[in-house]
Parts: sequence; structure tokens; C-alpha cells
Amino acid sequence: MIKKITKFLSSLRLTISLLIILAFTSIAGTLIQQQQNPAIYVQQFGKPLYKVFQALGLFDLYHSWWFMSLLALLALNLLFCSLKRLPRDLKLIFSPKVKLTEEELKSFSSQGKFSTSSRSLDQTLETVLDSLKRSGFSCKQKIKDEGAWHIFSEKGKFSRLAFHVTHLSIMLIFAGAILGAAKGFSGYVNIMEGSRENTIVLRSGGQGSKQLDFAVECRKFEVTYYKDESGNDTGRPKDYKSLLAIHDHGKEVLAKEIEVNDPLSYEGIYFYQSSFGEIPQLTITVKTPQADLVGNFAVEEGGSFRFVDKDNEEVKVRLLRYFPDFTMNQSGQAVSRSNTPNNPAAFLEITSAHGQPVQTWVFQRFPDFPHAAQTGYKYSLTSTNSGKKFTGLQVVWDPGVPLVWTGCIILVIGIIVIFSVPHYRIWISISDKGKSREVIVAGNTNKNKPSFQNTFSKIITVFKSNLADRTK
Amino acid sequence: MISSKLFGAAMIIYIVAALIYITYLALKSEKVGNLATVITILGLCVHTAALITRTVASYRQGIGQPPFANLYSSMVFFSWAIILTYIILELIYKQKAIGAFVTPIAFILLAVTTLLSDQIEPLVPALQSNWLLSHVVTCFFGYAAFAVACGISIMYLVRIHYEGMGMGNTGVMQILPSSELLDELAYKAIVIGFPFLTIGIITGAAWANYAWGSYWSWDPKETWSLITWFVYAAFLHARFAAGWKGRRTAVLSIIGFLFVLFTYLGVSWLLSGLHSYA
Ligand code: HEM
Repeated sequence: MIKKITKFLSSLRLTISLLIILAFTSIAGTLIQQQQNPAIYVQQFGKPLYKVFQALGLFDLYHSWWFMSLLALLALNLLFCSLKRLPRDLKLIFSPKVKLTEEELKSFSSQGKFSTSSRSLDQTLETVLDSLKRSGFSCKQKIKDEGAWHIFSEKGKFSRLAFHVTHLSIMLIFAGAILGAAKGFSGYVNIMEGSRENTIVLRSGGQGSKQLDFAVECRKFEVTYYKDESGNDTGRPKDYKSLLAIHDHGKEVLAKEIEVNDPLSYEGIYFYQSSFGEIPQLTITVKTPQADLVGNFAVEEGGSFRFVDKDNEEVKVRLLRYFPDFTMNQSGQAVSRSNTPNNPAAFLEITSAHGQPVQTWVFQRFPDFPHAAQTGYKYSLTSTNSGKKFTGLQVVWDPGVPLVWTGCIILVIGIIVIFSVPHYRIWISISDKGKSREVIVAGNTNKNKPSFQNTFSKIITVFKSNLADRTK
Repeated sequence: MISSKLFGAAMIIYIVAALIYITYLALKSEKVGNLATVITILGLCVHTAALITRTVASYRQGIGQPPFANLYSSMVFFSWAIILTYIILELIYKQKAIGAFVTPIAFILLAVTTLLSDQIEPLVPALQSNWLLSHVVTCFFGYAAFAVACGISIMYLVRIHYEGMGMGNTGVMQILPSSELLDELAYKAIVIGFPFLTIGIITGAAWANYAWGSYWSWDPKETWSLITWFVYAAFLHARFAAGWKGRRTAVLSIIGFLFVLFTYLGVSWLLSGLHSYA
């Protein structure tokens, strides 16, 4: 039973099947958009199909239990396959068979036979070793047994290990991926130019947040745009950069300018430039019912300001929402068509000392738009500034990455060695045959036969001319 | 643009080369075969010059990266890599007949690019990376080797079809390489392509890690290149370790190339993801 299982786990049939199954199941995940909101799926597939797909894990296929199991099975397959072959390959490398019988030698497809009568056994040995050297091979081992010499020569024996190393590298990559998923984290943080943050919002695991042991400051943020022929900005960002500084225990320990392909790292945590934005600064102008100016107040979305009214009571104004390009959608909701201030609109909440808070719209383009009159005061949106910039950083700590890269590098080297370094082996026996000495040369390779045959026929030529009897 | 004119010239040279290769199949004349090779190499030189001109133009426009980021650029590069891979294989294995199947592929790719805009587009910041360059170049060399393998596998299937009808030594069949050699050559081409695809996927992951902090995100293009990699890994194990040969591996090689084509074109047209540019 156990034997059956190990045989199954180390079989190539399993490898080929798994690779093909992985290929075809992966396709499903590219046809169905992954990790979307359930509501979108219900709309797309209908409730019953949604439930089936959900149960099959098709909406997060690459993290589903069965996809993971397939990968785990592949890893087991690799492990068992290597374990099965390792003893044999180690033996081939470290204790090769030096002495082959005559029948064994004659069964090789690459072989040659010579005889010489003008040399003694040991002289023949010398000539043979010399010929080997001239052919670019060297004697690895020789033994004398029952009046005959057995010589073994080889090249590229360590390429036998390339197979194990290649397959091991894939397990390293898996290990790195597992380590990263289990211990690492990934999140993002937006930092206003000139301020610092130490808390990031996590992406996975319920969208929690995480406090770092240090703070990141955004000193400066800059965007450059591609220019058109006449030298104006096209609005397509060419590059964006943030000058970041790390403050650890109140001391600045590191400062670096980062851009899209050039992150900053501190204590293994990487900060990637991923987005940027601006928080618009609005100016709300407040006038009395008699049109006397009360003041111009700068405010940003979510912020508020206060002023004192004619009864010496405080009025608080909060900017609930800001729409740079206001419009109504089909269902009558206010939305912004774009981020360009084509039709700036602000939604205010005004709370005076007496009575309920009042909410009202103000439009920069339409200052006379009637608004909640009961406040008495007149509010208008008089300017929108691009305001303060913030940089959007992706924050990642993935302790598995070094393992993954190590695995990748070994994988590439391993594959190249498997394909291009063959293991050539040559056996030679020299024996007394009556008055003459007989030399049998035989060889084989584990791959690339044609090129070996080429090499081998060159060896044969060298042997032939070296072993020719001078006296004859 | 000058480069577009040069690409056009290369395209015409390739169709001429294809016709000469076909003539070679018909006449079985060594001289015609050599002429075909020379013409193809000439096309390759013109094509190379065109790529260089286009890169220089891109630097002039201040974009400062070899232009690989749209369909036009990647297709002209793809067809260049196919011809280069083929010429190398031809010079090593001295099999000219395959040219009749490969030069038309390069011609068709270049012909398709004439329908596309040849503008050099500015790169969004994420694409301005040396990783991108090595990623694109290695992937396309892989794809090119697989294209050549696919051409050879088709020849193989045609050949064994005729052999099955007892016509293995008549007409054009005489000059096609033997079925064993075709089988071997397809394998060789895949052996060349596989390390390139592997490096391509890895440099892509390295680039993503550098730009976004995540080396693998199962985006459709990424996933499809991995799927293609699985298919060719299956091919290699079937052929090398399990000893499959002939029709079954030829079919796997053709299926593999269909996956390559989908990875390259299908994903951008039909599925959405990060790689929507090329
Ligand atoms: C994604 C996973 C794998 C990759 C990328 C991979 C890669 C390779 C490559 C590139 C070769 C060389 C093939 C050739 O020379 O044509 C090879 C050979 C081989 N692989 Fe895998 N392999 C994988 C999984 C496996 C597994 C799970 C097994 C377990 C049964 C396995 C067993 C073998 C064997 C027996 C050979 C022949 C080695 C030799 O004789 O030198 N492979 N592998």
C-alpha cells in the first residue's frame, strides 16, 4: 500500500497530469474576474450559479483549497521523484563502476576495438592514457584486475545533480511564497506633503491597520508630465517622486527619493511609490444677509470652520463632500464626472447655536443657486485650489522574497545545465589476448547523442593512430 | 517614420524569401536554397536596422526606452526574433526546408503591423524599467522559439500523414527532413524556448516586485504565461523523461504555441488586467 502511494507520488505520469490540470484550471481564473464584490457576481451570474461558483472557490481560485492542494501535490511529486532518484545519481557521481565485463562493453552503441602486439600491457596503458588526454578526457580511475586494466573516464558528472537542484528550486519558490503569505503583510498609506505617518491600512485580512515601529515622512512630492510638441503638459505623468525620511525613535535614520521603479526599504519593509493625489483646498465666502463680508474661509473635504454671527453666537460649517465636476447620475445621486474642476460643488452642513443642522449645496459656477434660506447668511464657493499634495505608498514586508529569488536563480541555472551539460562516460579495458593486447573503448551519454557520437568518433581516431603498431 | 519604411522593406524581403524557399522545395536545388538563406539574412539586417532606428527615434523624443510597450512594437520585435532564431537553427542544423514554413509567419506578423499605428507612445512610469526591457526581450525570444517549434511540428504531422499513405518519398516529401529529424528539431527549439520563457516570467515578476511590491498577483497575462510554461514543462517531461515521441509531442507543441498566441494577443483583447498595453 505504502509502496503504491510512493510510486504514485514519484511518477512522471502524475507530473504531466498535474501540469496539464494546473494549466487548464488556471484558465478559469482568468475568465472570471477574481476577488470582486459578491454583488457584482450575483448580477453577472445570477444567484444559483453564484452559489455553486462560490462553493467551488472560483472567485478566489488561486487561493482556493483545491488549487492549493494541486500545488501541494506537485511539491510532493517533486520531493518523492527526487528522493527516488537521488541514491542512484549519487552513486553515479561518487562511486561509478570502473570495471565492466567484455559483454557489457560490447553492448554499447558507441564502441571501438584495437589490438597492438608491439607493446606490453603497461606500455599499452601508457599509450591509452596519453590518447585519452589528447582527446580532452582524463583518466578518473583505473584498476588492474586479473591481468587486465580497466580505465574509467567521464565529463560533466555533476550535471546529474542539475535535475535535483532544478526541482529543489521549485520547492524553494513554494516555500518562499508560503512564508510570505504566512508572515508578511501588505498595505498602503497616504502621506500629505510635509507630514508623517506610522500607521498603514492592510489590504488583506479584514482591512485592519498596522502600526509600524517607526514613522515615514513625506518631505516633498513632485510630478512631471510628458510634454506635447508645443511644450505643454499633456496630463500623462512621466514620473512621480517622493522624498521620504524615516524617523525611528525620534531620530531621522534614512532619507531617500523614491519613484515608481525605485522603492525605499527600511528594516526589510519596502515603500513603493504607487499613486498620488491632491486634497483640494476650497474657499467658502460667507456674507451677511445685507451682503457684508463675514470672511473667506479655507477648508478641505471633511474639514470645518466657524464664525460668529450677529447675535454673537458661534456658527459651525462643515464641508461634507466636494465634487470637482458635479453632475447627477440616472438615479438622481450627486456624482463627480471627473477630477477636473469643471463644475465644482460643495455640500455643506451648517450648525448654528439654535436649531437643527442644515445641509446645503453651493456651486462655484452658479453662485445664485438658491440654498437653505433659513440660515440667513449667504455662502458661496469662491475658489478651488489644487491644495495639498499627498503621496500614495504601497507598504510591503515579505520575508519570503529572498527565498523566491534564490529559487528562481537556481531554477534558471538548473534548467540551462540540464539542457546543455551532458554526462559523458567512457570505459576502456586493456587485456592480453595471446600475443597481442586488446583495447576496447566504449562510451555513452545521458543526452545529446549526436554530439557525443561526434566526440566519440574523434576519440576513436586518436586511439587508432596512437595504437598503430610501428613495426607493422 | 523611416523605421516604418524599413519594416515594410523587411516584410517584402521576407515574402520573397518565402517564395524562394518554396521554389527550393519544388526544385530541390542547393543553389536556390542558399539564395533563400541569403535573402532571409538580408531581410534580418534591414529589420535590425529598422529596430535600431525606432529605438533612436524613441530616445530623441525623450522617452528614453526601447519602444516595446505597444502591440506594434512588440509585433515587429516578435517577427524579428522568429527570423533570428530560425536562421540560427538553420545554420546549425543545415535544414533549409523549414524556412518555407517560418518566413511566412514573420511576413504575416509584419503585414499585421502595417494595420496598426506606428506611433511611439510615452511610457507610464511603471513601464520605465530595465526589468521591462529584459522581460519583453526574453519572453519574445521564448515565443519565437516556440513559433519555430510549432512550424516544425506542423511539418512533422504533414510528413507522417504522407508517410502513412505510403508517399513518404515522393515529391516535396523527399526534401523535407526525415520525421525523426523534425521531431528532434521541434524538441531542440522548445529546449531553447523554455529557459527564455522561464527567465521572461521571472524578470516579469522581479519587475512587478520592484514597481508594485508584489512579485505575483495572478493578473491574466501573468497567469497565461504561467499556463504556457506549464504546457511546455509537460511537453519536456513527456518527451525527455517519459519518452513520448512523435505525434503526441507534436500535438503538444502546437497546443503550446496556441497558448503562446493567446498569452500574447488574446489576453489583451479579451481579458482585462495590468498588461493592457501590449
Ligand atoms: C513545475 C515543475 C517542474 C519543472 C519546471 C521541471 C523542470 C524540468 C526540466 C526543465 C527538465 C529537463 C527536461 C529535458 O531535459 O527535456 C526536467 C526533467 C525531469 N523532471 Fe522535472 N520539472 C518539474 C516537475 C517535476 C516533477 C514533479 C517530477 C517528478 C516526477 C519531475 C521529474 C523529472 C524527471 C524524471 C526528469 C528527467 C531528468 C533527467 O533524466 O535528467 N519533474 N524537469
